[in-house]
Amino acid sequence: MYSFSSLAEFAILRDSIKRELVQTCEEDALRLFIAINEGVNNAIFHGNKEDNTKKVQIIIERSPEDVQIIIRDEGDGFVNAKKTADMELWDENGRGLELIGLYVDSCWWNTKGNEITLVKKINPAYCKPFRTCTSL
Amino acid sequence: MEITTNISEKEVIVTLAGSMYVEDAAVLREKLMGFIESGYKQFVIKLHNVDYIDSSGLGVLVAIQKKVLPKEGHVTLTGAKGVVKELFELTRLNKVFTMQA
Repeated sequence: MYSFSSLAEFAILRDSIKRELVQTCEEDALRLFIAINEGVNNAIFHGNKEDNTKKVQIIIERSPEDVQIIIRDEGDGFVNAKKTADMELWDENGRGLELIGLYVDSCWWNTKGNEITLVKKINPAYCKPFRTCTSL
Repeated sequence: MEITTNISEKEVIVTLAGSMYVEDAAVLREKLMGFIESGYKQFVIKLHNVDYIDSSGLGVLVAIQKKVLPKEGHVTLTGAKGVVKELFELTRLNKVFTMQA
């Protein structure tokens, strides 16, 4: 599990997260990282509203079938959490949800809207056999 | 991320290298808006050595394009490859910019 309170702290952790994703499933690592990075940006800026007394947590779990990633913040909940990303081409903001939707197979929020779960199915042709993630 | 800017004729050449995260996008926005305020409206942004750009970076590029188009300016992106090229294609932003190899 990764836990941090600010963008600066997350920046330090990015390489470790990438390494874990490569170890978990190299073929999908970069695309999973793209989804995680967008989810974390939302958690820091829209969830915790850059309040450094609040934490963001990332949990990465691998099963034989998929990689499941939970990103949780301590904010009041994302008001548009249930809305599917619907970007206009010329919008400057809000493209993070679109990218998450493009790079994982499914995602959903908890009822409060402060926790998103991302799921990426594993292609056994590309990924190593299932093993427990050592960082958990 | 490294951000290098040069002026060639009336064109601003921006060379980017590395990964563009939200903190880098803020720096890029400030630099490019400064050029626009100084009267520049033609931008060439070199992405050859960019391995990742997040949604905030994409948003900054859209913002610059929206600023310069009414002034008959333009943002041209060159050298996008791999996942960076894929990001522009999947988000359809390849229709917003002129993209060159």
